[in-house]
Amino acid sequence: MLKYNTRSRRVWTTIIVVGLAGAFAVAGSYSAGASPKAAAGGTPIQQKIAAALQKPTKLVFWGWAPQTAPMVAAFEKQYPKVKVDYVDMEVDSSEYAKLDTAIKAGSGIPDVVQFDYSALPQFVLSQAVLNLSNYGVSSLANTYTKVAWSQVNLDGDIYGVPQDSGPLALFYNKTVFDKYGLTVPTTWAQYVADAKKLHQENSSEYMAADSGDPTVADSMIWQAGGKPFQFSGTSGTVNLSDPGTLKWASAYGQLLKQGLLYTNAPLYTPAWVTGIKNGTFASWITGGWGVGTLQYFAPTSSGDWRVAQVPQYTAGAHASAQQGGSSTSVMNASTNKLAAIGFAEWFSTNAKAISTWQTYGGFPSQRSVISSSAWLNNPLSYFGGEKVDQIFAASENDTLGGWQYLPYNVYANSVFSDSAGQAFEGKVSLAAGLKAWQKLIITYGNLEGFNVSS
Amino acid sequence: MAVSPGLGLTTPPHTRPRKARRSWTGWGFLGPFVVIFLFTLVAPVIYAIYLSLYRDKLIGGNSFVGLSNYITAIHDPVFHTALFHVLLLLFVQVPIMMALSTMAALALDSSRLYVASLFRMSLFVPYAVPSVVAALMWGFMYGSTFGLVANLNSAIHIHLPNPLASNYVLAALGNITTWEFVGFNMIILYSALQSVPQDRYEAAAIDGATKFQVIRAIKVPAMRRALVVALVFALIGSFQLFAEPNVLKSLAPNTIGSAFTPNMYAYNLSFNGQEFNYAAAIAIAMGIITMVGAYALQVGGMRGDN
Amino acid sequence: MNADVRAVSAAGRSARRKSRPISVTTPRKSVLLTLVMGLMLFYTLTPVAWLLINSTKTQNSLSSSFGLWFSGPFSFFHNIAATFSYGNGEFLRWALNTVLYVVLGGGGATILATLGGYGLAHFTFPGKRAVMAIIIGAIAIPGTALAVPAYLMFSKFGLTNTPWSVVIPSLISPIGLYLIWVYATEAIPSGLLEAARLDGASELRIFLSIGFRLIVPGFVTVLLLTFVATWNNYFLPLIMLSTPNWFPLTVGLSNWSNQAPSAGGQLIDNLVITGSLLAITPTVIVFLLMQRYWKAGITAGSIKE
Repeated sequence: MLKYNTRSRRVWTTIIVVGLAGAFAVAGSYSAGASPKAAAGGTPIQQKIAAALQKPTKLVFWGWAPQTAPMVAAFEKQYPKVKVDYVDMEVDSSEYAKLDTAIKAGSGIPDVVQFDYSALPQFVLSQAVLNLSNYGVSSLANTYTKVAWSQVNLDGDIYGVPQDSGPLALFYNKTVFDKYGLTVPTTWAQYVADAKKLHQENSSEYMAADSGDPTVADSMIWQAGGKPFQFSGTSGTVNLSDPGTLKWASAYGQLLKQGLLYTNAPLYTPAWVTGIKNGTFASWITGGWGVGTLQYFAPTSSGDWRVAQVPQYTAGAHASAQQGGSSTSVMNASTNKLAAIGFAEWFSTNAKAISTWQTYGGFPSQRSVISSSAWLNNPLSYFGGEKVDQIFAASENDTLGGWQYLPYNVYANSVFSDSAGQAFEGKVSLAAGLKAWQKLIITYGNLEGFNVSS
Repeated sequence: MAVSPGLGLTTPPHTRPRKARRSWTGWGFLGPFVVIFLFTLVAPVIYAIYLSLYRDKLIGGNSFVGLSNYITAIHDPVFHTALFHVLLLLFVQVPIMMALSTMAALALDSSRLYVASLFRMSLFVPYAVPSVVAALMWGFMYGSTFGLVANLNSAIHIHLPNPLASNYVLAALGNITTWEFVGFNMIILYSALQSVPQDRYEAAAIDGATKFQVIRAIKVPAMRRALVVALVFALIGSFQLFAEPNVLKSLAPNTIGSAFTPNMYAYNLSFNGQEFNYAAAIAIAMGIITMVGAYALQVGGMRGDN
Repeated sequence: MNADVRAVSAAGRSARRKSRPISVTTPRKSVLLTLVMGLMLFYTLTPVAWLLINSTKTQNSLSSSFGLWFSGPFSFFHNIAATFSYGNGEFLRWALNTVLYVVLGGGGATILATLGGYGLAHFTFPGKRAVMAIIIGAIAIPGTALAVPAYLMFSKFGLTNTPWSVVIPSLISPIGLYLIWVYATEAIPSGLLEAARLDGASELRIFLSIGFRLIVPGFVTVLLLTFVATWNNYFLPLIMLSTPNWFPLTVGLSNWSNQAPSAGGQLIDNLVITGSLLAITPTVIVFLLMQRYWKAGITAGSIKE
């Protein structure tokens, strides 16, 4: 479900002030380094963008994050001639559906859109998104982490300004772990063993809850070294039984087969929240934004949770991946492209914007933030005073390269539950479920004129 | 029975050609309706038929494909499953609902109930509840981790299955639609019963008919037309099912997939897959199936009339 | 759609005994039958009771208490206040949108159906048969499935994501038209109209002063149907509207529930529940109040048997 992805991004953006209290001060200190490129001086194109921001302009911006409204207000204050009409796309998965139909209808297309990294290739392919390479945006390459930049860099062209990242980590409930004498798993084999032990000790406890979610599956396949989606332009391969994918399917499949995962609590539903709160689910593997999510959902569990590196397939390894994250992109249909670009750049380079983003719990994508010692050494009391950001920074760096999302990811996600999701119902093995998903993805691709094989 | 018009899907109600004048004046009254009708219903149908004959690929553009989308639909297992789900509801849930409605209508009509008006009004209340809200409510109650089912399990130490597990999810949905419409159908049937002239009962009493004979010989026939009408619309309602499963989907993504009902399938195809053409073909196919079904019901239900 | 269509037959089924004379068999009240029906009543009212009870709970006690009994601090009024203030008061906005759609869409549909039904009942005119055939056929077409073509069409006219995209399709109630048609045929003697015509009155005047007054019960019934249909409308606005500003309550509430953990940073199941309760209250009240009219409508229809 795309919606879970979107939702998770939204969740992590809902900050718990207590938890990230330090972020205010920290953000202020280093974000000054990232000055808005469009502000003054610079190359001719940058000057043009700066000039465009001084003309009376109206921009329509589709986004979803709660901190967007104050950020937009700050932008309008700085550039009073530019009026940004921010549309909060509250309906989770339907943002892209609405965008698709607007594009199809040729009317009502916004100027600026916040895209999941996973959805971006699809809109790039349909030539709905403006290529920013010719507008001087490429010079921002070193502002962002390698991973974040690679997600807006598609076939060598830049299609957005990175907003945030989602480095994968293992969140675990230390209280539950201690109670049942579980060791923090460093490998997937240990994770499975822990899960078995926990469920044997108490049949109503589970290592984790997962009801089947394509964004979770993608990130775990990525972390296992799988590269199931390989596209170049309109042709490519979909192989959900490549060695990496099978590694995950085997480890995770064991959990499913033995009933060690709770599969009746889709993420963020009341059932899931209840289980997280009362310790029924002992761990959660997710993006760095889980920091905000946990504090927000389970404030009473303060002190129970810790963060660790994602379990590895090879002992001693450091392989990681991403879940979620988004870019700010400009649409081709925009009649105010320069101002739109200026806005998109400002949104994730302006010091005030960056700090606002973080005070609301946003995870950063700027190198200056992620490498700053203030940020890295910030102890979070919710996590027992642990400096969890160090783990996320490491995860961001350890993210495996070479991952690609499908050029029609929105559709693929929408049929995950029909195929791979059946493995979470115990109907088929996970490997078989993934095969079925692969088949749906290939069939659709070829039907739509792509050249897809397995 | 000059009055009870059934719904007359096949036969329009009696007009009065005797004295009405044949002129354009009538258009003055009907015109506004027809204009909007053409714009919001007829035009989309025509446009849907047009769309269904084309295929607009993401890569490669638009091309005329004739009936190929319909042929795809005929062989599409996903569509079959979706259709099977609504047929199952139609053949299992609808009869149960109608039986309950009939019994309730007979009970109301029998004059043997205490506080009959309380029943009549209360049973009707769910009709006023939007289907989205109904689904939200039942969704909360169905919760086996959190919700009424979980409460019951822990309170009286039983183990009710999860209503949204794959074996039960259709029943869980059927229950919601039953809840929504049982009272409404009851009112339809009840008003049909109320239209039976009193002298029929008097005559039956003189003949010494038993209660059940009265029900069989007088009341059931009196309800038949109303029942057929109610069935026709239950059929349309079942075939169009969308809001309830769409709301419950977030609670049970795997058991209620993206294509649980034909309407959900068409929705997902269009809005997540941009397959507007194929979705249009599904819509038109469902329209044809619905019309055939409604017609068959009417012909079957009205047989022996007149 | 489903339901409003069904309603017609209830109202269209015009004949009814004016008062129910004492039955020949003078039935005794039956305890057993009342009990059996009581079960059904229980089934019908349990979810409503659940909604009422849980609208008094805080978010916290919601997940930790028995669903069919009160628990925790009584926060009914707090929940109502929170429902209205959440998300910059979007609930109120949705409620007002819903009222707008009901008044313009439902009201307009009733007026169009009344005019059209009257026209069909008392005039013959060129093309009448074709119109009748098409309208009757349209009742059986799954309107919801046509939403996509309708969306694409509307977007060509720039109507999507405006209130018009919800109001205009709501203006058509084939079943309302049908009902008025039946009703007007039976309730207005043609002779009366002919007499008025001989007096030289205009057709519009005849309709307003004679025709309409005779079909008021049918009009009210259709108004009720379109009221419910537009109040409960979900699929159409879901597709047509992209910005929450124009959402009706149904779409807004399902949004809230889909993204309970969202923007404002609160879990809002309690608001979804309270919002649902608030959303059904007007329809339930209208229906209970209109009970009288329903009865009147049915009775008044029994002009002849």
